[in-house]
Formats: sequence, structure tokens, C-alpha cells
Amino acid sequence: MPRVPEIILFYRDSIVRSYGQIFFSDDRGFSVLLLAVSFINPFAGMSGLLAVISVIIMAKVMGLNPAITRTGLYSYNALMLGLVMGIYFQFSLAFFVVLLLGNFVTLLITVWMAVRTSSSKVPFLSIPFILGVWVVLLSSRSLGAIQLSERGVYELNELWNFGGPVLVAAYEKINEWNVPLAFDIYLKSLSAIIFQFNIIAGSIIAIGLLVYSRIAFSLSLIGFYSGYLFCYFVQGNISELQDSYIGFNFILTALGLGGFFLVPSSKSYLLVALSTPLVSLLIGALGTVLGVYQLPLYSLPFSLIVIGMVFTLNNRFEVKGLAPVLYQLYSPEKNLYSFWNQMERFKNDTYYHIHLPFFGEWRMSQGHAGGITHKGDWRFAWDFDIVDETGKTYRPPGKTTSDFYCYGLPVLAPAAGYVATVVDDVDDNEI
Amino acid sequence: MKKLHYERPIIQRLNVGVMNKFGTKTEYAPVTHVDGNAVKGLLAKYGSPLFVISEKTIRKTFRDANRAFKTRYPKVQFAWSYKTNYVNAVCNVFHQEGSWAEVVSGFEYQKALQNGVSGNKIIFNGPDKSMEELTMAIENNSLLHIDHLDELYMIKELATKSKKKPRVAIRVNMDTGVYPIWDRFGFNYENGQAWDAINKIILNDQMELVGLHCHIGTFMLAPSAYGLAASKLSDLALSIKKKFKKSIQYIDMGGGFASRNTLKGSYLQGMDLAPSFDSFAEEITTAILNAGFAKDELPMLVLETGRALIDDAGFLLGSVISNKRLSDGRRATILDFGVNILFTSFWYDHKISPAQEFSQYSEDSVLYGPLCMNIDVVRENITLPPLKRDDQVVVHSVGAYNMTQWMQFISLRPAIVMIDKNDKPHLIRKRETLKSIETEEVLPAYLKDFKL
Ligand SMILES: Cc1ncc(COP(=O)(O)O)c(C=O)c1O
Repeated sequence: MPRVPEIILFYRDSIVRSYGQIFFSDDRGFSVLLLAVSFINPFAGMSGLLAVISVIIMAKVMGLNPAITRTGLYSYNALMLGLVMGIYFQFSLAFFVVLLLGNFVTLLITVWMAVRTSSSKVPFLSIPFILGVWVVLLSSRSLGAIQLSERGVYELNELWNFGGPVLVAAYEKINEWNVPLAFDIYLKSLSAIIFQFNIIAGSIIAIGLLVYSRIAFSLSLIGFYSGYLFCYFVQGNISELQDSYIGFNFILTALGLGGFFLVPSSKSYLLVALSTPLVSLLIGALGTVLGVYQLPLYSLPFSLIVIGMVFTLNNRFEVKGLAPVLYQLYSPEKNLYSFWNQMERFKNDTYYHIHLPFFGEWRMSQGHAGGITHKGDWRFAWDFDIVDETGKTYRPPGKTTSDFYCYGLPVLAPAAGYVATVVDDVDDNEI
Repeated sequence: MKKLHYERPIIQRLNVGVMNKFGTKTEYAPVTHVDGNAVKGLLAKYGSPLFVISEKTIRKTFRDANRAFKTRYPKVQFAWSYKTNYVNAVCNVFHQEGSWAEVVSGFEYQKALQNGVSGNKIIFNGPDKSMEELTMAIENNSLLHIDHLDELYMIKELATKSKKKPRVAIRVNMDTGVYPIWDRFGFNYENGQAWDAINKIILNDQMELVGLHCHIGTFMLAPSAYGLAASKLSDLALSIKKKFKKSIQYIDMGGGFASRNTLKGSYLQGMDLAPSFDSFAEEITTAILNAGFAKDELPMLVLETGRALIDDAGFLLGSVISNKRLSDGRRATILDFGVNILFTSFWYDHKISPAQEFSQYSEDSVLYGPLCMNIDVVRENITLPPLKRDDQVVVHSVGAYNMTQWMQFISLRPAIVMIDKNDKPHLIRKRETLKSIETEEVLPAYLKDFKL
């Protein structure tokens, strides 16, 4: 077999993985499926693919890390922008120029956020896309050359133009399917993640999801229906779920929290079920505010809730239950198996436990790079002493070493080991 | 101008000779205030005599002791020995500091429950526990420290009736090189009684053996004795592990650390003699850590320290009733408190300071209490400045055992005041009245009337 040139592989991976990224997946088959499904609305599909390719080129030209570009991390936000613009605007030269500019803005925001968030281990999710799309939407109002598309208004006409009577007949047939409302909304919401809004796309994605990951599929159901039930329970925006498919936020929240940032477990499922009502509240709240400026929400509620949850869980003082995924394998199953494997192999030693070298309560009197003596080679040293209620380190008169609380106390080995050398001829420093 | 303090003249023999190594004038430096409160003011407000407890001193002493052990051993638990001082305010200071309760009678047990200590944090010691008391303790999941075989059989009998499995420990007595051995309490280590009792408990399976206890004596001046005791208890625990594959949850070393009082007949002052908490802690923890327990099977170390934690926090304030010259020419001073409320003066030479300024002159004298009994001697011999009627004195380190062993004999018991950490006094026990003594009395009707 002839060798495929590296550059082709780079583009192939970067493009395909951008689609998977949206679903927290790097499964090749599932990603290709998503790419294909995005063409069910061909305008969205084309515009999306164009956006991905253009952003990958921009990233390459600008000299960004190709290893990161290849994971799709830099381009999936632009992909979403492309999909949205393909739906809302008529194709024209001006459209493509604005698309490229919008992509560029999105890329800048993505890189900035990726760098800023990497040290704090928080995801940025689709925030760059949302900011990018707002820039485009707000500016397009004053750009005469950019026209809102009328597609969708005359849906059947377009189908006729596109695929003739066969397509129209198929469309009518599908509309006659008697899908229960709750399931209908689930499928449409699922398809809305790649801006499709129809049950064909939804059904294909659902089957793809099921094949790719049973955990992800079950999470999508639990996430969606817990959010749905909450809306029902508080007599909230069910009709909104129906009309705008905003419920896809529930599904993304479920995929993100249930098996991607956290190792899947009964607790992570429970967390999903408890988080979707939060998402629902945020949809209502943000919708009200952004409605004033006629700005769409898209996946903003999901992004904010997941970022908030992950941030909080990463800052736990003691990690009990809800294990974070330490090394991302981009699949709930793989994350789970790797976690089990780790627990089996290392039991409690997922981290190498070292203990402080003493009993009881001591004070750290000088820490890392303490500035007094912890400089240079000694910058990672810690100093300890003991203080009483009054802050003193000794009992009166404090004239000899033995007056000091810490003098003569046992010093422990911080972990099991072998004695390498013994030094016992260093005199005490007199006070 | 302030009226000068009158001091009666004294005649003192001029002492020529070598200086003695103890000096002379240490004891009677005046102590006019206790934790910022004037002695005069306290006595005026609450009456004389008066017990005063310094909350600050309790907390500081407790933290010193706690630190000494916790910086040497991973699991340490103090249990406040109620008999040492069971005034509720005092107990609760200890409970606030994290102490469990150690009781030796049904009455103390109820006191601990009433103070809010949960049953599983009460240690029930002592040779005298009735069926009712044992039943109550079993139902509350308390820790029963068995003193003798008869008690063991009683608990066994109760265990068959109760749904709860009693949590027990045995008290072990042993030779630690300090005599006399307190072998009247518990089971002896050397002659095998203790091992025998342990076997009886574990094989019976109706009780759960959770701990091993000893209390080798009180006012112990030799930390090494504790080291020996701790290694003997550890040996027992390890033998249990070996034979029954069962880990003991705790080792209770009892109390007994000396306080800084001076025992009668002691050549040195208690202040200089009493070992520090650190030296007791060093002996005990070294013995347990070196005994050979697996790292995660180290037993919890329980301490029932009493006097060493409370003695220094207690003061007795009183007043001079009179002065007299005894037949042999010695001076005698009569105070308004005696052995009735200062029970510990039977075995301590308490440090007593005048509560007002004096000149440099001093005189040897005997201090008597107010009782009409010859035994009422507070100090057989003390060097004090010449005191006169209504002068006031402060007795130091009286926190342990006095407020529990005091007698309502001839006179009524005084009030107790606790001075909090902001130097504010709180009345924690009222001065007794005739009524408090007579509430429990019953006078048969036919004895009501009489003619004289
Ligand atoms: C069993 C037991 N524990 C603790 C104590 C408290 O002892 P101390 O006040 O000497 O510390 C005593 C007192 O005799 C005791 O008998």
C-alpha cells in the first residue's frame, strides 16, 4: 500500500476530530458519521466543513502547535460557527469573507482561552464559538451584503429543488412517523448539537452514539430526560424545548460531566441528573437577558455549568467519590476501564502518598521559595516548628534547646523505604 | 494619704552561719490578684473562704499535655477523671477541649451524661458498679473497665439479656518498680490473672474486648514506671493479636501524673520535682511505638490524667480569724478554712501566700483551720509575715480532689468562682446554706416538739 503523505493525515485527523470534539469523542467512525450527518442540511454541512478547513490552515500558517491542532481542539469552535452561519445566511461572496473573519476571531479566542485555562485544568468548551457567533450576528446587522437566508421558510420547495419528488415523498413519509413527543424532542435536540433540527439526523446520531459508547448514550438519555422532567415539574419552558431544541444543553452537560471530566459511576450519573435542572434555570435566566439584545444562547448554559462544576470539583480539599479523569482518553468507557485498572494496580497509591514527618500539629514556618533561606537548591524545602496558643515556639525561659516545643520529638519517615545512610554526629545549635 | 498597714512587732533571733541553699523568702511574696481579679474584691463579693478556678490555666495546662502526647503518638484521647473535680463548669471546659469522661460511680456516670457526653465516650471504671448501672452503661455503649471477676460475671449475665454487645476492657495491675503496688484494683499481670480474664472474655464472645487499662498509682514521680506499664499492656495486646487474631482498640494508661504540689516530708519543692508532661509522654509513647504493633494497628492511647491537669488552676482564698501564741512559744494563726474544705492539706504542704504587701520580716508559725478538732491543721510549719485578723491569704494548686472530697463538717462549704479567659468571674457553685444541707433530711413528726 502506498504511504499516505503526512500532511494529508494531518488534515484528515484535524478535520475529522473537530466533529468528534463536539461530542467529547475521538472515535474515528463516530466523527465521520457526524461529518456526514452535518450534510443533511447541505448548507450547514458545507459551511461547517469550510470553516474547519480554513481554521486548520490558519492555525498552521500562524505556527500553532500542530499536535494540538490535530486533536481538533483549535477548530471545533469554528466548526460550530460555520454550521450556524450556513443555516442563517445566504451564501454569497460577502458571506464567505465574513465566515473567514468570524473563524479567525473564534480561533484567537480559542487559543487565548486554551492557554489561560490549561494550568487551572478547566475546560473552555464552546465559549469561543458563542463569543464568535455573537460578533458575527451583531455586526451582520449593519452589513448590507449579508442576507438572512430564507431557507426553511419554503422547506418543501427547497427539497424539491434539491432532490426532486423522491426526497419530498421521503420527507412526508418521515413526518408521518408517529414518534412520541418526548422522544421526538430528544432526537431533534440531539441533532441540534450539530445544528440539524430533524429526527433523521437525530436518529442517526443516536445510533452512532450507542455504537460508539453505551455510557455516552445512556448519559444522553438521562441528561435529557432529567432536564425535561424538571421543566415539566416547574411548568417551565417545555415549548421552548420543542421549538428551539435548547434541550441539547442537557445532553452535552450529561456527556461532559457524566463520563468525560469525571470517571463514570453511579455518582456521576446522579450528578448529571442534578445538574440539568441548573442548566434549565440558566437557560431561562440567560435567555431573558440575552433576549434584550436578540442574541441566541446556543450552548452557553451547558458551558457555564460544566465549567463551574469541573472547577469546583478540581478544587476539592479531599477527593472523595466522583473521581476526576486524570488522563483523558476521550471515551467514557476507556476512562472507566483505565480508572479501574489504576485502582486495581495501584490501589491507594494512585498518587504516591508521603506523610508529614511528625505526629500532631506543627506549623510550617517557611515554605517553598520562602525567601529567608529557601533559595536556590533549597527552594523546595519546608521548615516546621511548634507554637502554643500565644504563638510562642518555646516555654519560658526559652534559653536552652530543650525549652523549645519541637525539641526532641520523634521524626518519622515520610514513607516506607530503606535506610541509606546514618548521620548522627551533628551537634545541636545552641540558642 | 493611704492608711499604713499595721504589722505587729516581732522579735527575731539573729541567724549567723552559712547561708542555706533554699533561701528564705520565696514563699510569702504577696499574691494580691488571681487572673486579674483582686483577692480583696472577690472575697468581698462572694464571701470568705472562696475557691477560685482559672479557666485560662486549665486550658493552657490541657493544651500543654495534649501537645506533649499528640506530637509523639498518632492517636491520643484524654478522658476527664470526674472524681478529681466534677463541678460541671470544670468538666465542660475539659469536654470543650475534647476530653471524654472517666467516671467511677453511677452518680458520676449520670453527671457525665447530663453534661452532654455521649455514652460511647464515657469510660466506666471502679470496683463498685451495680446491676442497674451496668445495664445503663451497656445500653449507652459505654466502655466498661472490669475490675474483678464478679463484675465480669455480672456483665456476662447482662449480655445474654441485652441486644447490645457490651464493650469492655480490663483493668490490669502490675509491678512497675513503684511500691506499694496498687494490686487491689483489677487483674494482676505478673501472676497471669489478667491473661486469664482476657481469655474468659474473648472465648465467651458475648462481650467485645476493646481495650486494656491500668492506673499504676497517683502522684507518680517516676515517668519510667509508665514506660514499663505501657510495654506490659502492649505485650498483652500483642499476645491477644497472636492468639485470637484480634486487635485491641485502645490502651488506657490511667492517671497519676504528679502535679506541682509539695508532698509532706518531701525534701525538694514539688515545683522542682514534678516531671513534665513531655517526660511522661516520651516514656509511654516510646514504649508503645517500640512494642511491635503493625503500623495500621497501633492502639489509641487513652489518658485519664486528673490532678496534673487541674491542680494549678485552683486557688483557695481565705481570711485570718485570729493569732495566738502556743504553750511552747510558737506562733499560731487561725484561718477561716481548714481540712474540711482543704482536704489535700493532709498530704500536701500547700503553698500559701499573703494577699497583701508586707515588710521584709517573717516568722515561723502553725496554720490552723476553724474547726473545733485537733486534726484541723493546714500547715504544721510555715514562714509567713506577721498576719493579723482579716488579713487575707491565697492557697495555691488546690484544683484537684478538694472540690470533690470536701466535707460539710461544722461549717458550710464555700462558693466556687471560675475566672474566664477575659478575666471575668462567674459563680459556678453557690455557697451552701442551711437549706442545702437539710433538703434531704426527714424529721419524724413525733420529734417535732420539745420543751426545755
Ligand atoms: C482509674 C483512675 N483513673 C484516673 C485517676 C486520676 O488520677 P490522677 O488525678 O492521679 O491523675 C484515678 C485516680 O485515682 C483513677 O483511679
